Amino acid sequence: MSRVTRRQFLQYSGAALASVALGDALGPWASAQEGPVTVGAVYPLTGALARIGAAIRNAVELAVDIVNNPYPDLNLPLARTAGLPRLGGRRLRVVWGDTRGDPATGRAEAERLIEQERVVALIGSYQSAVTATASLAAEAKGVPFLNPESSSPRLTERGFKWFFRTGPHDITFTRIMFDMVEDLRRRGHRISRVAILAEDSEFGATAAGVAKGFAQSRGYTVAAMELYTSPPSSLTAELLRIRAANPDFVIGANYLVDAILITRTLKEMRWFPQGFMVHAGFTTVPDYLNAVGRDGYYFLARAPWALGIARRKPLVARVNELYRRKHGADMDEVAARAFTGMLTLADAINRAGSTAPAAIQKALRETNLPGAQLIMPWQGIQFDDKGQNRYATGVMVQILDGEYKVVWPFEVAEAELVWPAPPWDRR
Amino acid sequence: MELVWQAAVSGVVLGLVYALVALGLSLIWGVMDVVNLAHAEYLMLAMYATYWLWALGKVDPTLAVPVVVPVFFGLGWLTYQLLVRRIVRAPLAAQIFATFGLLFILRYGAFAAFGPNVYGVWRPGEGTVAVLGVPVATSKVLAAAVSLAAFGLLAGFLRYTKTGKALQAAAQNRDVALALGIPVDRMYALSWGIGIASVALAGVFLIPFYQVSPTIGDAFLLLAFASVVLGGFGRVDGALVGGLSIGLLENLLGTLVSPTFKFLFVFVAFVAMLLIRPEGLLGETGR
Amino acid sequence: MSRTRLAVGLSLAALVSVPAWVQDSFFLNAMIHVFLLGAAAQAWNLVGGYAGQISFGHAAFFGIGAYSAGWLLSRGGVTPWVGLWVGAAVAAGVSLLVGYPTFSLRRHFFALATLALAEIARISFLNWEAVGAAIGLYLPLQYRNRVAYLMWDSKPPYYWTALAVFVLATAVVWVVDRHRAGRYLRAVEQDEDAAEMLGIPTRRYKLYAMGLSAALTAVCGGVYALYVLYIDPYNVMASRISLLVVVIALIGGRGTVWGPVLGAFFIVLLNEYTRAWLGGRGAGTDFILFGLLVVLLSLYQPRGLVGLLARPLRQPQVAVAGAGGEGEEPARTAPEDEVVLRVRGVQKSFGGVRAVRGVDLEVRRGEILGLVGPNGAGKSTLFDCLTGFARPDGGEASLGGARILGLPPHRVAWAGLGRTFQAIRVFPDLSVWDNVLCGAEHSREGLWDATLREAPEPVRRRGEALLRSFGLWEHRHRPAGQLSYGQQKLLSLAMAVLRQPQVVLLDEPAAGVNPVLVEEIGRQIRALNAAGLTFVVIEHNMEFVMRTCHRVAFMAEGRVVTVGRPEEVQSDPRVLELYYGR
Repeated sequence: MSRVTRRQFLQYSGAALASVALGDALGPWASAQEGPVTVGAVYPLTGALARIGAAIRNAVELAVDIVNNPYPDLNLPLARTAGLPRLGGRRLRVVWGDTRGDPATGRAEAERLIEQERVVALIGSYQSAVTATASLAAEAKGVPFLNPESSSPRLTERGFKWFFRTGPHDITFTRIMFDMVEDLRRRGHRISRVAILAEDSEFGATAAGVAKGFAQSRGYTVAAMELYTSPPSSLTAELLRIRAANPDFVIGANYLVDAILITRTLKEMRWFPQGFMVHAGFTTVPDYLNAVGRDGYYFLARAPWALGIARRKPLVARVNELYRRKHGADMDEVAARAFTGMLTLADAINRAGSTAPAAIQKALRETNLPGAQLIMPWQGIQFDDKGQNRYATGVMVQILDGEYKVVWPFEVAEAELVWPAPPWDRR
Repeated sequence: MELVWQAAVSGVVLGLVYALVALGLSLIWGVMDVVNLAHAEYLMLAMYATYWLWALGKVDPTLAVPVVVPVFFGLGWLTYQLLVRRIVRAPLAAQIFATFGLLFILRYGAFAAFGPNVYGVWRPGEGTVAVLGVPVATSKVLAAAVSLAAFGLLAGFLRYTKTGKALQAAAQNRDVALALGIPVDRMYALSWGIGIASVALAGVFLIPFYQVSPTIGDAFLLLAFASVVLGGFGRVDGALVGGLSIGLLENLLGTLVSPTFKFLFVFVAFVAMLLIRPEGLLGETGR
Repeated sequence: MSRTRLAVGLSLAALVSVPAWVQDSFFLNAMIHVFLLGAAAQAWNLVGGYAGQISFGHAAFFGIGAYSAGWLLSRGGVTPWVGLWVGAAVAAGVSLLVGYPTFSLRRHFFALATLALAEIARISFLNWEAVGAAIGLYLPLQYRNRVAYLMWDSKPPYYWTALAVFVLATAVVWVVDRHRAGRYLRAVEQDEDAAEMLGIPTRRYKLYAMGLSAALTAVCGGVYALYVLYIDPYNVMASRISLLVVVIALIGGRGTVWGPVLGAFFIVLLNEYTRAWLGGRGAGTDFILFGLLVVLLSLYQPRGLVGLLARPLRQPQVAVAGAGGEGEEPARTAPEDEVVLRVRGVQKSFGGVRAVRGVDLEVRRGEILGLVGPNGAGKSTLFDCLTGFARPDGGEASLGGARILGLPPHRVAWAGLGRTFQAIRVFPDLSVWDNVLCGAEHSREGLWDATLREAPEPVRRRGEALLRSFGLWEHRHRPAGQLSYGQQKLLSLAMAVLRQPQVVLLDEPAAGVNPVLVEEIGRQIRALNAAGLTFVVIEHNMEFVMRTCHRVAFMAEGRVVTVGRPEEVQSDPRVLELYYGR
């Protein structure tokens, strides 16, 4: 029995005792003698991405807490009630599987959770390659798999029946990047050349390929495309070549480690394109700014979520406050996606009114959550026939004055987009 | 042309850093014919040490030298006494596997102690220095300068001090040195101390512009070997020439041909050198 | 022997039946990893354990296998039953290409080269668009649940496939170990030069081990790809795999049949279960343990777990005061007139030192020619030149009419020249019996034959006869390293003469042994000579020379000064002057 299960067991017993007491008060509706509904979560809890895994874990646990306990003033699915109402108030419980960031391990963990822990659904796994294999296990065993944050477009092109993705993928992300550039062109900026700098694993390579495709189809010249192995000891050669190609803007797909090196090298070279926009949440993780300070200003990033949304959506601030109180830091976009994914899954289980996988699958297909009930800047959640949330999209954020501000779409922006970025000697 | 020049200058600066990393490896290899597969793990540990001094004690990395370097000198000495001493005369396989096991212990010890996360040091207001007309980050220039100084110091030590000459004697012919009354065992321990201390020095000056995580040893180990083999081991200047060659190869070919393959070029050169001239550019045949 | 077979059979039956009573996916997954990694470790064992070439780059072959099977399936719908073997062939080909130049690298260089080569392979695949580059290959899923495609939804069929691969790899190693090929590989590992001199084509055997190893590793990689259904360079070509395979073979016991088996169970199971039990914080703690084990084993028990479990019987060293069998003094035969070994004008310089300055020598069939002279006269160097261990600067030599100067040692041996060395060179970890059989005739020995069959009957009979006459027969199962100095000398003599070479060069056969043994050695040489062998003997022991040699050649300062009967040479004034000074 893993430590996690033991802790959950204690939690459950405590909750059971409380529910018994509550049950006496609430009568026949609180049949809390039944066990909790168990969902499996497969994420990289150790390994190079452990940080991300930890953030996701916090977010998922927060979502579970909101489902299980009454939060009457939060307009989130299942917040007002305690437990899953259509299942007699049964509580939700998550058991964790550590993928170690490795596809084979991810699959093994998914299988373990399905068979040993008898989870009714799975959520995971951040990295696209791991999600691919873990969801394969779920597909084979007929268990719903919800993916909040993997970005490879392929995942919803496999014709899977049990796979659902709430978050946006690379094509969506790249589209918003180029849409923003289109807007800038309409404002009179001359932008025609793009360079791409990506790390060479599945994440970076896919993003780079999609970016290249978009660039070509929309009539931009791909001035340079450089792939490197993360973590790099030096990116001088790559950046020198990119600079020599004279791009107007650069699209990057990089990890945190690489980003810091990129920033420093750009400063050393005393060069910066009109705009440098990145795939990936690295720029929205505090570590980045801690490491590079002011040098990180003006970087742009696509974000499925940013704290700045709170300005127009108080719900976001409320949830962030809850998160902050528990974990001492603001939510980031990975946490936000995982949080939303967990709630979506819980909502579907509730609507199914049953723990039978097929019922949950059907409920997921019928999901129609309105945007007002989400902390994401989406119109809502509704899955198309490939399992992709058709309203998944993102915003563009820029690092300004030490913070990440939403700068695009202009309608929801909280700060003015700075384009072109000022050269180094004028910062 | 400017591109080439910039690439070349960056290559030289980078190469000097590689050279310092390789120095200890070359010294130990030359003195007692032991190839330390765990060499880059000491680099990683020194970087962690410097990082924690900065993060917890607010000690600027440059000032960490008087603390980190002597400690790692002791670590090298200790490694020799506890482990290496027993394998100096052992068959090749035992030597390879002993340092291989050491690599595992150090690397995964770091994993367990520090977690898998990446850490870096940030100093505000980091500027650049113009080196032959090319702007280079100050911390990199400092690292390169320290590297040159270290090489000079070591060369001077070996050539002009009594201990240094004793060390060379022990390296060239163990039995004769013993017969002459040179404490060969202590010379070996000394070379390990110096070797690990120098790679720790490299680590202190690397951390300002290069992040540390438990697995960075992978990349640096091969680069260190390549430096030693290209330059020729057994000679202090071999590591210098080798490191510079690697840095230049990586940067020049990487910039001019293709960055994706920059390490490919380095490794191909490495293998080619092994096959064609294993004693390296500066080495003597018959070693 | 049959008890071992029974144990193996029962264990195998138990392993096969496991999926029938255990359905736990986690456990089955762990066992699949045990089998595949264990098989890969067995494959490594062939080249790193038996042949002694330590490779840190085997992940390249693993990846080649994975990509070959995966690519053929996803792009061409080719069944893995074909794809796996294509991968094996490609991997074997690459390994031979890579091994040919690198096997000549000495000491650590080979291991370093393999590190670099594996990285080169990984970077290449990472950028090779046709196989998906960094994005990797997703295997097509429509082939699931068909035996023809080796892809299933459930674990048990994968379990059996992996087990089959494991059994295959172990069987291959077992066959090699039992027969001549294993013996020769281990000889090559322990002393490459000595093996060469016996006529074992060392490079050929190393390449053989390498090719076999690469092919097996590729099969493991291919099956792994079919299991995981997604491959990219990070997962099938990472250095992690190379290192893990080495650790398994090391800790289990390299150079043994069961070492990688034990190692795989121990390490992989420990690894999988610590991950499940310790979760977060435990990351890597099992690897610290493995590192510690590797260090300890390298210092104290190179045979790994197998060594610890087998607990070899340490027999006390046997003194050899009167070692040797009985036999009468054989009749002295007169040598013939035919010149069997003709040496003309051989020269060799080392830098500024002219060690051999034009040596002319004629050795007659059936004689024992003594080669005497002060130290530094160039006698051993001459031997080195003749046997291919040194490259002469000039001159020629022919044996039985065939030119031999400049040939590599094993070809010189095939031409009919045998040799012993000044420092005894036997294979210390091989048994006495294995040692002597290494001296068999190798010139027409096929690799296939050597793998599948033991030495032919006549060879074995002759080996037994030699060992008996040298008094070594009762020690034939002992490791040669446990013999006394004198016994080892006799053994090396036996090894050199087993295949009845045309001429045998002996380098100080009587040095460093007590007088009784000197006498014995002399008697043996004379007996062998009476049976038809020709000898050239370097010796400083004058009495020995006088008793044993038909003729003596005196060498000084790189030249043959005089040749003649022992008495003549002994009283030659030039000899006296050069030996003793005026």
